[in-house]
Order: sequence, then C-alpha cells, then structure tokens
Amino acid sequence: MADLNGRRTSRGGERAQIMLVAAFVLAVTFIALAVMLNSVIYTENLATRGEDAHGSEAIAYRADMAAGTERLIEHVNENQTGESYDDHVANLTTSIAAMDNGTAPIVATGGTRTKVSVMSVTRGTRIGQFNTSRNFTDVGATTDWELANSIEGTRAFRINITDSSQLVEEDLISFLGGSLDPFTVRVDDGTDDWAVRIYEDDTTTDVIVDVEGGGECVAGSDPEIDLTAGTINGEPCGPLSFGDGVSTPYSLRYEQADQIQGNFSLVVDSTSFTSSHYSTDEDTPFADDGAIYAATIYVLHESADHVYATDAEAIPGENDA
Amino acid sequence: MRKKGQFDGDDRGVSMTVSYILGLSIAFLLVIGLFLTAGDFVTEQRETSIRTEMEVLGEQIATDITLADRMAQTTTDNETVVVRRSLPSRVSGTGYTISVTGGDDPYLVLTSQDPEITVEAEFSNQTDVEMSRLNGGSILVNYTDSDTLEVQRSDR
Repeated sequence: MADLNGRRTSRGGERAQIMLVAAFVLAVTFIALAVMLNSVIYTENLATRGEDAHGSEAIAYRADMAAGTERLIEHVNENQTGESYDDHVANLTTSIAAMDNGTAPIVATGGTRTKVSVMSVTRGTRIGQFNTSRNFTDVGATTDWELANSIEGTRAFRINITDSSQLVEEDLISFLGGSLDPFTVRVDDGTDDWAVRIYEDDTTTDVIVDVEGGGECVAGSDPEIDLTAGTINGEPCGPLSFGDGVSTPYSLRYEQADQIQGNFSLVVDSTSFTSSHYSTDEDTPFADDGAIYAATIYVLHESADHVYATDAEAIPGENDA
Repeated sequence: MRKKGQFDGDDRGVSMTVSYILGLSIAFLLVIGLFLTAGDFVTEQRETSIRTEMEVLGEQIATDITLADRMAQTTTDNETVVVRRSLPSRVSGTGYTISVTGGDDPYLVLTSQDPEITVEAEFSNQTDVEMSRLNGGSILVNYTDSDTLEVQRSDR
C-alpha cells in the first residue's frame, strides 16, 4: 500500500488537488448555510418585533376622546346655564381644541400624530329640579304633566329620592288591590308605551322600582335611580331598560308626581316642551333648551405604520331609546 | 526481526496503475459523496428556511388584516383605516407572492418562486376582505370606499 500512503513523489502529491476541491466544496457549503441561517435569524427577529401596528392605541384614543367630549358636554350643560346654545357650542369647541392641544404633544413623543375636532353638535333640552325637599310636580303643582315631546333620545335621566316615606306604600297601590297610584315615569310614542313605577315596600323602607310588564328591582331607602343607565345606586337593574319597545319620537311624562320627593335631571334630544311647566329657578322644574344633547367629533390617529380616522359620537349617558 | 528500513520503497506486488486507480476512485467517491450530501443538505435547509420565513410573514400579514378589521369595526363616517408593514422582498434569495383567496372565508397564501413552496395563514375577519395577489415586499391593508379590506402594495 505504498502509494496510497502518499509517497513523496511529484506524481503522488497531485492527488491532494482532489482533497482541495473537497475542502472547497465544504467551505462553500458552510458559507451557504451561514447565509441561510442569517436569513432565518432575520425573519425570526421580524417575528418578535411588536404584535401589531399600535392599532389598539388608536382605538383606545378614539374611546378616550369620545369619553372626554362626553365629560365636556356635561360640564358645558351643567356649569354654563343661562348662556345661549351658540355660546355652549363655542365653549365646547374651544374645550375640545384645548383637549386636543393637551394630548397631541404627549403622543407626538411616541411618533404618533393625533387630531380631534368637532364635526356637529345636536341641540337638546336639559330638564331638572335640584330642590331636595320638593315633589316632582310642575311649577303650577300639576301632578300629571309632560316633560317634553318629539323626543329622539334621552340620556342621563337620574332621579334621586331624598325621602322614601313620601312614596306610596305597596299595599295601598291600585294595581295591587289598593286605591292609590304610585309615581310613574311614562314613555309613549302614541302606539306603544313604557312605564316605570316607584313605590315603597309596605313593611320596610325599601324602594321598589317596578317596570310595567317587565319586573322589578328593590333598593334601600332614598336610592339614586339612573333610568337611562339602568342602575340603582350604581348597581345594574335588569328590568330597567329605558323606553324598551318604544320608537322615536316619543313623549315623556310624570304621573302622580306628588307621590315622590327628591331631585331629578335629564337631557332630551328635543326642544319641544310646554314652557308653562317650567321656571328658570332650579329649585322647581326648569328646562334649558340651549343645552347640548350630543356631539360628533372627528378623530385622527396616525403613525408610520397606521392611519386611523373616523367620526365618533359623544352622547353622555346614552340609551338606545 | 526485520531490519529497520528493510522494505522502504518496496513496490513489489503492487502495480503503479492499480495503486493510482484505487487512490483516485476512493478520493472521487468521497468527493462525490460530499457533493451529494452537502447539496441535499443545503437545499433542504433552504426550503426549511423559506418555509419558516414565509410562515412568519404570513402570520404578520394576518395580524395586520385582523388589526385593520378591528379598527374598521369601530369606525362610522369619514373613516380612514390603513395598516402598513415593511416586509422583505425576497425570502432566502427567492421572490414570493402574497395572495388573499378563499372567497367568503378568506385566508392568505404565500408562494415562493424557486423552489416553489406554499404556506397558508388563517385569520378571522368581520369586514369583507377582497381577493388580491401581489409580489412580496412592503404592503398595506386599506379599508376601501366599498367598506372592504384590501391588501395592497405599499410605496414606502
């Protein structure tokens, strides 16, 4: 096996060329593998770069701006009574611009451009009474009276009972075998109607919120009832679904308004009401038809990897009636 | 005992020709074996890496479509929804195409050109997604005027 051991002759040495080719092939193979490995690492690096294009932030921004606008609408309505509707709109527009100027520089540091502006404002009427020791009759002490008509929507309808003992007791109620009718809020579109009766338990001081044909909820004494949110003292009340089954436009009225004591407030999407029911004094029922019911805002959220723009409705305490 | 150097240079019993043929054959066999094995190995690894890359890209595009869908669901009027993503134009040295197919239940199909490998990526959507086909590279998912989502080529 002398020659296979690689005899040091010039002819025997030429066989190393084959080994050289083999080594070259191996080298090329390793380079190709390295290049491919690099490519895979790059892709896996891509895969770990953030889950998405910050779209969730855009959606959250829209919700934040709508919620902020809702608070501004409430603020304008509640703290600037007596001013005209145009003044309210101007105040809202200015406040939203301020909100935009406040948030835009903060998000800009993260490479995002934002913009929020008012597209349209819906006029409504703010109705209420802030005297805690008065019943819900109108200025002329009428017990059955219409708060407003031609209503396209109602929001933030809150009744705060300050003395439950003024409510009719359960055993005296006409539809339960007695002779008295309890305080009732009625929503009526001319064909269908929806009503909620409020009365007191005959053995305890609990207050019963009874939706006509829909079931009832029981709360402790002096509850705060949010009719449009469907809550009593902040707790959800299943049957309390304001205006369920009633189409718009509808009218809203109180019945037996002398059988309750406390204060109430609501905003309706309507400016149609009988002014003789109201005064300008907030200790008796009042109606401010210069109020803002709702606003539509335009929201833009843009960065290098996404553009998100849409109109958004801001209706504080909205219901679907 | 043999004396040292007694058989040095002893060629007896071995023909020089046979010795050469034997040596060359073994060396060639080794080299050819190396060629075949390394070639197959590289090809196999390349296909694996193309598949892995396209799976990642497919999932990323699916994420973008899902995101655009989620964003589109929260819009009303005056809406604009665009989601951009910068993707490589080639995977492991070959071009590829991205297509949305499947009609009412759309899904993504990514196909590389050479070797031809196909990878699918599923996504769930509520907004309709238009069928489309485009070459690999940067893309955008656009919410069109007809209220559908479309995967388009991005200029950036």
